[in-house]
Amino acid sequence: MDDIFVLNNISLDLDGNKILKELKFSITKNDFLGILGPSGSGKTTLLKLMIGLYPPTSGELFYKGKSFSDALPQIRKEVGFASQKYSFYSDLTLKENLTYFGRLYNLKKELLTERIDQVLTLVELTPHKDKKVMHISGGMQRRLDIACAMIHDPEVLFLDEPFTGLDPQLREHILLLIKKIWSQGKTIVLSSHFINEMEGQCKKVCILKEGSLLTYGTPIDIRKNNTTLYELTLQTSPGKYPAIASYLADKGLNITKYALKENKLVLYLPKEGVPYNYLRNVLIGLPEINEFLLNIKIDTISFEEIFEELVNKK
Amino acid sequence: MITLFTILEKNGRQLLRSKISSLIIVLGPLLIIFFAGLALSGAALKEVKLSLYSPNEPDLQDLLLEKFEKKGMIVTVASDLAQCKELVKEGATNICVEIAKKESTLIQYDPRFGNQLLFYVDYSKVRLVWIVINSIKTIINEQNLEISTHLLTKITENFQSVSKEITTKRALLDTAIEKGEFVERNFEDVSASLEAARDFSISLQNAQLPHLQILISNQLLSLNSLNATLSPALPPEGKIILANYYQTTSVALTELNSKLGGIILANNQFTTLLNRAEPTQTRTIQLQLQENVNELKKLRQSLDKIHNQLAGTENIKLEEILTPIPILINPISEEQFVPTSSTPGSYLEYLLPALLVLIILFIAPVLSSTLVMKERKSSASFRNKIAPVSPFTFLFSTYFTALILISFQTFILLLISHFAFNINIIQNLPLITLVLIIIISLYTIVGMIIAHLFNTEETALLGTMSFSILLLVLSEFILPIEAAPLFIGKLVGLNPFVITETILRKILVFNLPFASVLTGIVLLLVYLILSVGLLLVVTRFSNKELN
Repeated sequence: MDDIFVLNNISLDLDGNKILKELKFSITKNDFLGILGPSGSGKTTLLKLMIGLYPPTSGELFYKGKSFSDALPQIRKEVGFASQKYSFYSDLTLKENLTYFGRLYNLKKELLTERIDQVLTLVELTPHKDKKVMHISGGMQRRLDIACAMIHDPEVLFLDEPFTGLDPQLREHILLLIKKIWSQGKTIVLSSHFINEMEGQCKKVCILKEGSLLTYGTPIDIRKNNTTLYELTLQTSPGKYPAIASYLADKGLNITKYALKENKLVLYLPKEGVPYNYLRNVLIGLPEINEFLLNIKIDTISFEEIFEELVNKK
Repeated sequence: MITLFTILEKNGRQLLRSKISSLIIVLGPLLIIFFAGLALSGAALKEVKLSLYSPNEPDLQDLLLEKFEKKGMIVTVASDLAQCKELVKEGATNICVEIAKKESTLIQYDPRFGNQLLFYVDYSKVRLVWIVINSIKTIINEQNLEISTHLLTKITENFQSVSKEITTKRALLDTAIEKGEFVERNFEDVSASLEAARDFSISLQNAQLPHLQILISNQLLSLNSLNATLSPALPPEGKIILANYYQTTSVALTELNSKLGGIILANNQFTTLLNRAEPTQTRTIQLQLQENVNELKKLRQSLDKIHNQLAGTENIKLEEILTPIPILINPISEEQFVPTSSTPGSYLEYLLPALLVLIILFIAPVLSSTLVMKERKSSASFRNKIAPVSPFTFLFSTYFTALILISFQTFILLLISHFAFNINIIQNLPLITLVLIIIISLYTIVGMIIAHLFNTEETALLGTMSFSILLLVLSEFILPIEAAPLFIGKLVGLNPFVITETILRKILVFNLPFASVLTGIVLLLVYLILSVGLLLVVTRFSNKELN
């Protein structure tokens, strides 16, 4: 295995408070790790610890097989970090910012010029390179921040809440950008509270709560291991959803609970049952109460709900 | 090193990006030196405002009014003392001057001796008050000098009159002495003649004239006898011849005898007279004559002495009598420029050391703390922190940025002072540069320490301003430290502002050598080392907090 980071029972105490508690997981080369957790769970602290801003109180942390203290200068050179708050000089131009940060990483002039062109192209900001940062939009600033983190061509890119403050369209844009970077062979470590977006993108996910690791693995494994319900979503016309839920329950459908989401009815059904049977019962029942089916889908419950369940349960 | 230059370049770009910031960096020192130059360009105190109240002395009031106004002062004549004081309270005037009465025995010579001036001042404006008082004192002293000169002129005139009288009468004394000396000389001749006469008289007496007279009488008798004997024996012709001879001879002898008798008598009388004029008596007279002449000479010497002393008053300058210990305010150094009424100039040279230190004291900590705080609060600080760059590089870059900017400003100040105000900077440029770099470094680092101690730009600014003001207050720049408790005085001696100002004054104003400022420089270096140590400690804690 090409382990980049290995965390072995890492704990961190700050001002007498246990911020991280015995975390144990690893990040391999070209991983796309999503670190999820509610606010205050220690996501950002964990990322900062991994780039050496906090020394762990206990446990071991390895970078490419080297002990953390030995590898720290290497980590600083090989890791890029885009923090939740933008980290650049707003009174300088995009190019000046990239030049400055590139020089901090001792990039030679020719290489720096090349890298500036590359990252500007990557984040699609080349036309704006001579504008002062304060004069570009929030989405552009997020992309510039990622560009700054990428200027020295790091192997690992840490992204701390990269979607915060962005509208869905921009989030999509940034996500595509991250995927593009990942596709270049980089290792991505990303913290976020946009749970559903994580599920589709991350190779691995770890969920934190109050500094403790709740679960770690691929989204599929997590979904598999932590789901007890199916989620049957249907859209009908005229869409008298409470009446539908009540009728189907009376007809013997074992509905644990139901919810209305985005003009759709979501029925939660025990995982012990057979999905086909659940679908058949619904398809038979709907015409009986004069409901015309528009859309139907059955799946295990969403990743977000698994997350909430995990966070609230433990 | 490349990283350091990168950060410096970035700092420069950020600071100079704004046109106003750039202008401030260049125009700031220009404005300061311009206004300082204007403010300090004149030797005289302009537009001193004073209220004047004189209940009884309109003449003196008019006189002073004229002199005050001639000096460019603005005078308001108050109708009463209360109004005079009120004008000072309101700030309309700087000082209230009352012309009051006073007792004096010299009024007989000049009625102005019966006046005195009372100043009423607002001591909350202590510096201005002393400047104004000194300015007014100058005028009053001129007036005092005039009155005293008048009085002394009279006195010296009297002296000169006496001197003249002595000069005149001295001739009479000279004549008397000359006559005395003449008599003395003649008396000596007379005395010698008397002595000779006495000798002559004695020799006459020794000549036994009475015996000679007897001999002549005997000879006459012998002649008679001879005539009687011879005559009968002689022929008639012989008788006749003998008788003639006898007659002639006896008559001659008789007459001789008679004359001898007269001589003897005269000699006796002369001897009697000579005996009266005893030598001791003539000696006594002679001594008395000498004593008289000597006394006259002594009298003349005394008169000469008095005359010389009185004559000396002719060359006495009355100003010297009036101000026997004159106070002249002169520069300590000959090279210094001395503004006078005839050659008005600038006091900037004297104040340039304090001005330089003051500018550095306020700008360096504020600039460095602003730079640090800007960096700390900048969104980019996180990216700087995770970059493979030592935190010391960032500290150095902040320090060098401030050092370069403030040095540039200081350079402009020195340049203008040198060329526009003729203050010699070049002569001691290396030493001045050394001292300036030390103090800019010291205050820059202090500003950086303060910035690391506080969490907001506002509090950091307050901190740096408080620091600068504290150093300013603990100096002689605002209040006289001599009036402060002893321990404050000792603190002032350790105040880097005071130390630096003293060093620069010694170099810039007095051209003193390096040795004279060595102690101060060493002390500043100690402060600098301590502040660097403190900065490192503070930075360490500050960085921990910021993670």
